[in-house]
Order: sequence, then structure tokens, then C-alpha cells
Amino acid sequence: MRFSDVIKRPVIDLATAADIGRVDDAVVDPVARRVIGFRLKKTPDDARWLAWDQITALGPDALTAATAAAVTVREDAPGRLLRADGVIGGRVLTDQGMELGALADFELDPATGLVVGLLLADGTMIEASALLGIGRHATVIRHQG
Amino acid sequence: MRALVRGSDLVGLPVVTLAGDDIAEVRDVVYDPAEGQVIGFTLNKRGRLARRLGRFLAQDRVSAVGANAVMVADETALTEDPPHDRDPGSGNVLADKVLTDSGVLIGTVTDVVVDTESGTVVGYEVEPVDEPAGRHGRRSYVPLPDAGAISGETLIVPASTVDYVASDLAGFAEAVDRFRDLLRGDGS
Repeated sequence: MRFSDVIKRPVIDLATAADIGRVDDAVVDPVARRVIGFRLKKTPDDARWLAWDQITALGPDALTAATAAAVTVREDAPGRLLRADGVIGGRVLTDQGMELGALADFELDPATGLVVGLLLADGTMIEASALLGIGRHATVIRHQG
Repeated sequence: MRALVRGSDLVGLPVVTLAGDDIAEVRDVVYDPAEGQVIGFTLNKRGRLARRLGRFLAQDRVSAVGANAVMVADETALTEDPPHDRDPGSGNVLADKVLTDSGVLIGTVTDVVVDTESGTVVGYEVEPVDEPAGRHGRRSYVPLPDAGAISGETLIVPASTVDYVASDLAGFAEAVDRFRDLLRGDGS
């Protein structure tokens, strides 16, 4: 599943069947290589952060959570928002100091939240195991080949 | 990955951690002509004003030098200012004359050529003395022995150097290898 496909997907509270927000952004932990959580928009209040471990399912049409209390105010959590902080569209750099172009998307495993791959703007898919860091200058990957 | 670049090509490159953060940029390349080795880099702060950052990046703390960035493991790669007994900058050889031990003047140094894999300076970019009029700005590349050159006010290189002078960086790596092979052969 592509990260771009998850954007704008509704988040449904399974206790009340209410729509409690839409996916707007996400944070990936580059060391664990998995999604930490999603930032939502169109939530009923200021709470906009849905941590991965609060999600019941990341389905093809909606994210579900057991309760609306799953959505919280994000603390000063580390990590960069993929869209708002320019990770998507930002540069990809190898550990050898070579730029590979822009980052287009993340391929995710919807069951685990693990990053499976990184899609570059030129269509190249990089295995997630090569991911080293997601910083303010670049997303860094291990040199391939 | 071996690549030859001019020292001036490295100036301005961001210094990036493996976490992806840019923590400085290269201000100048600090080079020891006697050893033929890059010692490290003086640094500027990132940003338009490019003010000097009072830290130093030693060559042995560099994990890779690429076309687009100098890579380091993390912020701890930056140390205090360079040793004061070194002249900062490759400027200490710039404008020096390159003379062979047989007394032939090759030209004046305009830049150093760095092997980014090893951090060694494998040659000099020079402005040749026999520069014909109307070909201003043309440069030649002069290989250095493994051990570097004897340097004072003039850089002394072996007489055989003149046969391995290249007109562009693309063919220069091979010229350096052949030149050094020749010198090693002479020594055995």
C-alpha cells in the first residue's frame, strides 16, 4: 500500500461508527522503518495525532480505531512529517554523498505499518532495509550495488 | 567509489549526517603537501550568509565524500578547530610553481585534485607555463607521487611527471595510476 493512497482516508471510531477525522500526514521512524502514527485533519477538536498502536486496522477504504480517545494531541514527538516537513518531494542522498533525486512515496505494509520500500521520482523502488535516516536535509539510504 | 575532484569542487558541499541532517558546509580543504593528504575541512554554518563555524571536520571522521555531500556518522564527527601548526586551506600551495627535478617548469598550481575515496591529493591542477595566447583558462593536471611532492616555495616533482600530465580530469585517474606504477617500478 502506498502512503499517498492513505492520504484523505477517513478514520472511523468503531464504538460509535463516527467519522473522527481524515489522514493528512504521517511520521516514519527511520531506524525501526515503520510508521509511528498519522496526523489527521477534520477532527472534532485539537487532538490530531493517531499513533500506529491505536489503530485497529488500516483497511483499503478507512482506518479504524476502537475509540475516539485514540486520537490525541501529539507531544513533541521526534520525527518528521512526510508531507508537511517535505520528506515526500525532498532529496534522497546515499551514504556515499550522491543525490538520487526526489522521494515520491513510501510503500507500506498495512498490517504492520512497516516500510517496505521507498519510491523515487524516477520510478526506482529502494528496499526499506537501505533506509538510514530521514533528516532535514535529505532522506539517506545505503548505497546500492 | 573512486572519484577525482578538484578541492574547489568540495567547497560549499553540505556536511550531512546519516540521519539526514545538514550540520555544516565545507569552507575550505586543509591539505598537507608534504604528506599528500587531506587533513580535513574547515566549515561554514549552513545558510546564505555562510559564516564561519568554529569547528573542524578531520578526514578520518568523514564517512564518504560524494558529488553532492560530505557524509559523516553524526554530529560528533565535528571537533574543535584545526591544529594551529597547519595553515588552513589548500591556499598554501595555490600559486606555487611546479618544477621537475630535471629543472623543467610545468606551471603554477591553481587547485588540488583529491581522490575522494582515500582523501589523498593525487595531483595538482596547474596553469601551464607554455600557455599559448588565446587559450586562457586552460588547465592541466599534474600527477603526484604517492609520497606527495617536496614543497617549499616551489613544488618539486620527478622528471617523468611531464609524460603523465592530463588535459582533463576524466583521463587523469588513469594517468595517476600509470605514473605511480612507473615510480614504484623505478624503486624496485
